[in-house]
Amino acid sequence: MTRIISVLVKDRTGDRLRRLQRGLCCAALAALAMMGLPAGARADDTEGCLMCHRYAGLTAVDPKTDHIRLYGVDPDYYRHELGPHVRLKCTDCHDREAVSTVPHKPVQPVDCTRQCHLRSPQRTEQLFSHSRIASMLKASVHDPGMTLAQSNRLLGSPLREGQSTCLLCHDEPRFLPPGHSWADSEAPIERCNVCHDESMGVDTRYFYRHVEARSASARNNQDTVRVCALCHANDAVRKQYELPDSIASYLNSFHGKATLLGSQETADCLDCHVGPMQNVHMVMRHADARAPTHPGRLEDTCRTPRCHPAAGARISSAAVHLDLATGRSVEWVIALLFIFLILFTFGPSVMLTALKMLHVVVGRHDPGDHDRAHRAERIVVQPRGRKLLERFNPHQRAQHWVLAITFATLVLTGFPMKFADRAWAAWLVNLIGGLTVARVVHRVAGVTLIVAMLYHIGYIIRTLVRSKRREGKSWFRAVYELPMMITFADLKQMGQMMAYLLFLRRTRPQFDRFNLEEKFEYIGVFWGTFLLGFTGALMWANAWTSQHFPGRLLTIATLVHTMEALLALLHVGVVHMISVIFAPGVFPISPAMFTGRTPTEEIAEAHGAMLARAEAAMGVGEHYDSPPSGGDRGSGAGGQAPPPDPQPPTPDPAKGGKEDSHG
Amino acid sequence: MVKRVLRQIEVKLAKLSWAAIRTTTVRLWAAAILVVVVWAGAVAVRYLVRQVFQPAPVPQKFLAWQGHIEADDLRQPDVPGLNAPSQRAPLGHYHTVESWYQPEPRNACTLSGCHGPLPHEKIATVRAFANFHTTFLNCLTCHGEYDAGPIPACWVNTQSGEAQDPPPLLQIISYFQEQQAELRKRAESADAAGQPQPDAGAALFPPLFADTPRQANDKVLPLLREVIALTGPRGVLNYLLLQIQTSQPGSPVWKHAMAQLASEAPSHARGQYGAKIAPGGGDDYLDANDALAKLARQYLKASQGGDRSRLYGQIHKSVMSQPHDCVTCHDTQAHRLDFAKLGYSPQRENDLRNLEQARVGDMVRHGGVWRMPAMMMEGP
Repeated sequence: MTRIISVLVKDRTGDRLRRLQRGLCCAALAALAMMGLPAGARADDTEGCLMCHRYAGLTAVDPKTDHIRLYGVDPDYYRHELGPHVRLKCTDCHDREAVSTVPHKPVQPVDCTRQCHLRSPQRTEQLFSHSRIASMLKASVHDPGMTLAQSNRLLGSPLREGQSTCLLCHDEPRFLPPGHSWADSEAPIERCNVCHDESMGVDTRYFYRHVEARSASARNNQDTVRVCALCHANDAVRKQYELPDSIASYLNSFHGKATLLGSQETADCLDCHVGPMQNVHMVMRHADARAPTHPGRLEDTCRTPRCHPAAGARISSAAVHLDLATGRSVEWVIALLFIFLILFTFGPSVMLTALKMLHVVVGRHDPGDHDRAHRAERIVVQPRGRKLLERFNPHQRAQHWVLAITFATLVLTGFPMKFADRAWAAWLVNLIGGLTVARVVHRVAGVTLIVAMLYHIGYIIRTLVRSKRREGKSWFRAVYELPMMITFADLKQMGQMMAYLLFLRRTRPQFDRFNLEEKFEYIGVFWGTFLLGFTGALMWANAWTSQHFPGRLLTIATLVHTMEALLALLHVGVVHMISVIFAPGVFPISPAMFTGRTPTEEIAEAHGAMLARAEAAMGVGEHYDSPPSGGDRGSGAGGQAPPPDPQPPTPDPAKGGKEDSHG
Repeated sequence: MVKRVLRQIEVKLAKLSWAAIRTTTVRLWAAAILVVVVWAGAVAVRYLVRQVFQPAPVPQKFLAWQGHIEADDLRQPDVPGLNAPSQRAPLGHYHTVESWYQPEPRNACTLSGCHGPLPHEKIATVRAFANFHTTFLNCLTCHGEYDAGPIPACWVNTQSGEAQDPPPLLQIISYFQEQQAELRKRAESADAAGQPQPDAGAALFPPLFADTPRQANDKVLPLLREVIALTGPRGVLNYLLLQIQTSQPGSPVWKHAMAQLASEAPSHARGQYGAKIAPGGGDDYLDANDALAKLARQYLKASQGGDRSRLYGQIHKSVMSQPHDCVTCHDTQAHRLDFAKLGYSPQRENDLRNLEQARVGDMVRHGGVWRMPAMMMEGP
């Protein structure tokens, strides 16, 4: 009571009686204030700070900086013990002398390393301090007094002078792990409380949440990267410390893309830069032998039990930070080669397609198209004619659909992994069911495609064997006459086609069953499938690959795989889709892969030689006099034998490519 | 004959028109494909060149962080870490915020360009106290000059400016307190009549409601949903909502959740209601605000001199240069605000009228200093 009465309130008039009255008033005030508080606040707020500081609106504008100073504190944090700091009093962090009066004296920024008193419900106290952490940081590459303080200044001083640089990485610690809700922890706590009730004196709720929160990383992968990016993606900081753009290069790598797509299993910054059984505050320079990224320790860092335990030692040379633009590495050269490959394959295709569309726009056409269309219509009304003009038999169509479906699946599951930084990528991966599901589907589709390709090769071989037996051809001739084989005649006809498209020639050359463009596409599928399959297998079996080859091969395989996939998508997604779906002559869709037959207008425009052969076979119309192109004999691959009919006229090599009388 | 010729011409014209339409459509379609193809090629080449020759950029979401909270942020509807959960809190601020009253688009005082959302700066000792009142009081509630006695006031929605019922959280608190009062009354009546009391100790949970569980559920649940809609789906209130709406009214789980809600709700009455107490009958609030905003715009455009002074006087016609003391509302005798009419329960009204912090605030505002008793600072 004496102490209460002795509490002084400064009074300008100096009246002792009024001072006494005020002192008594304050004592009563304090008692009444305590009574007026909700019960929870009393129990949690032994110093009465939350009387006022529970209001989020308790704010002011700092007149010097024009920044908002928020004085509100979430009372639920203490009432429901939402984090480890609930066991502290406010004055464990904030200087007691400064806050023991209202208005408060200027309060110094909190020093996170000061000693505090952890209280337990059993009224015991334990002294604690984060000074040990500060010592670790000082010995690490993130020295708070030098590096972090300087970084704060370079970042524009988000922290006030004197504020602990801990705040650059840490927010107020909370028990609730990301993505968890209250309900998730209540059931286990209730089970603990069956035995560990009040009589046991164990605060199960606090300890369960404390331990559970630390059973996983406090932050998910993306949030960890976000924290590191504060400095490591800032141009000023990087320039000051001569740092590469680690964040960009990480996000461009395999691990980074998985992080972007929501994976929590993949490596983030701390998984590599903080070794096992090491504290996250002990990130060391690469040159330091204690650093997990030290060249002498790197292979062990990759092969921890959590990551790649079965991998070979050389896996560490795979690019965890991939930046093609800096340095002229092998990877850069490969990327450059692919640019040229794409330019010189996709480029001509684009040009051809564009020119064809230009011809449609200006209304140019071959004068013979109309007549050929009539002739084609006369042929297709007869069953034999329809058979002769069938370009794809049911077996081939089925193979095509398997290819189409697997290709589409591979694109939908694979391209989000390539363009992982785009919003649509994460959306698509989530739609599929997550990154793990996408990977599984991608691999299954890839295997399916390889099997389908091998099946197709077997199909070709079978066709060759049959053709050889039936017609007594040599192996060379049988192969040469495969419908998809590129011949000199094709090259010559393509030259003629270019001349036509460039308005240098009046009539279009008459292609047979497949033109050069289609044959290139077909060969491209072979090339692409094998390349993608091979590199995909290397990546899938990364442990085996790293045991037998340098880890850099994985980086190269990834690069080749993604580049080739892009090339394939460009060809199929743009050129092929236009020619079979969107082109004016076939819109809405070419029926070729449904019925096997191409519309007569397209036959007339694009496959005049095939029409002529059909007419010759049926003994009607113009005789076939164009050189054979790959042994097209109706709709069989490699010359499935047509029904017996008059032999076509012997081609005159001297007339090879000569335009027909309609041209 | 003429008719036949005309008919033939008509047919030919129809054919010609149809053919022309068809041809034009095909050509336009081909032109579109031409553009798409060329564009696709250009995009592909640009992408490839960038990938090889330019460093990969970091996605923006990894670069966005909040250092300080600026005054303008308080006018934005979505500031991560301030009024919505965020992966990173504002760096310079340690304690988690994530909940802030939304900007008030219909408050002419703070949007006029003269006063900010946290307008109290002059008296450093009480400016924070005054600012926190702005979350639930309109400026003129304290700064308006009115006759003695309760001023006509109502709750207005901070977003729409329209009059509304008392905030749902206050209705929940009032309902619980009224039910408890009713139960006490019934117990007293039964006691007076000599009727036996039910053994409260035998019940798993003490009775909370005089109403039936179904009636209580129908009353509380919609209000709780409104509270969550305002504050966001996180925290203990959302958890309790989940418990209540997934349990049968009257079941042990329901009773337990309701008991927790009764205990929790008062601690959430921290002023962030999505509504403010504003003088007036409600319907005229918007009109008055709009008129004020118009005058403010004119004032800001006016040049120095008579016009400006006149407009200044007009705007601040009913505004006191010094607001009333805190005890004008927080006093058992004074009646500036009719708390009962504003939806506060008798118990809550009593707490507000006897709020000792108000006396501390007045003392500090007039130069006094209040020292925390040592027994509070040392704690148990």
